[in-house]
Amino acid sequence: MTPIPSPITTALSLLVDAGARAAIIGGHAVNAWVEPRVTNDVDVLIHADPATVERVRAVLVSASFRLTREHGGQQPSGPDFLRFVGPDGSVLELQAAKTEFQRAVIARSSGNPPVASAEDLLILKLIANRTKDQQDIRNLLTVPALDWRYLEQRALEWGVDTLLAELRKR
Amino acid sequence: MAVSEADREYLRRLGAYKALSHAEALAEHLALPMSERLQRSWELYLRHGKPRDPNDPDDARGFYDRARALGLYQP
Repeated sequence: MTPIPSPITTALSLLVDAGARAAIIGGHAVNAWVEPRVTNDVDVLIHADPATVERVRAVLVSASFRLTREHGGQQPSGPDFLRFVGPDGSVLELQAAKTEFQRAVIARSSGNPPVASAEDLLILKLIANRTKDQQDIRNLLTVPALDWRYLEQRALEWGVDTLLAELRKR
Repeated sequence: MAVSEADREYLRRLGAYKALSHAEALAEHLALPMSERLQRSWELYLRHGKPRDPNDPDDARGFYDRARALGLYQP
């Protein structure tokens, strides 16, 4: 039996149809690399110019998604962050790739739909470092064959190298 | 109540069994295609997820603030 596509797959298809390059980040992406835990929002990183972001917005609205939050919408490069609520109540959060690192996250993602690498998720979680991120960090550090050179380079760039070193020792 | 060395050894063994069980579950999970791993994640949310707290500001502002402060933000 073919499984019913989850809203994660549906959302990614809509974004790609609108012309955005995208990768799943956040809790669902972490769940692709470690034993899954309950997570609510679908977090997606998108690389798109302002015109494409507008197309994304239009495509989602036509699919009955409702925009509930926006940050940075007044910038020439378009918004940093958009939160939508889907027709089933699911939350879809889009983050715009406005740093070289975020664009690399999309380029290095794998699978269909594309999911960020364990290393990139670790860096994103180290930067956020909220209570709920700390369990994800501990779990992601157990993923086999992590690329430590890449991790250390990115951690240094983002000023989370000391935190990474501390967590690696534990 | 006295705890014997045998008790401690038994709990250590149980811990090792538990670790093995997690390792097996993870290996099975990682053997699935990405789409199925995401499907499992979504099904877990459907079974146990809670509505988000409307006061939770979880909106990635911290990431963009840091990127700007470090000169890594490219508008």
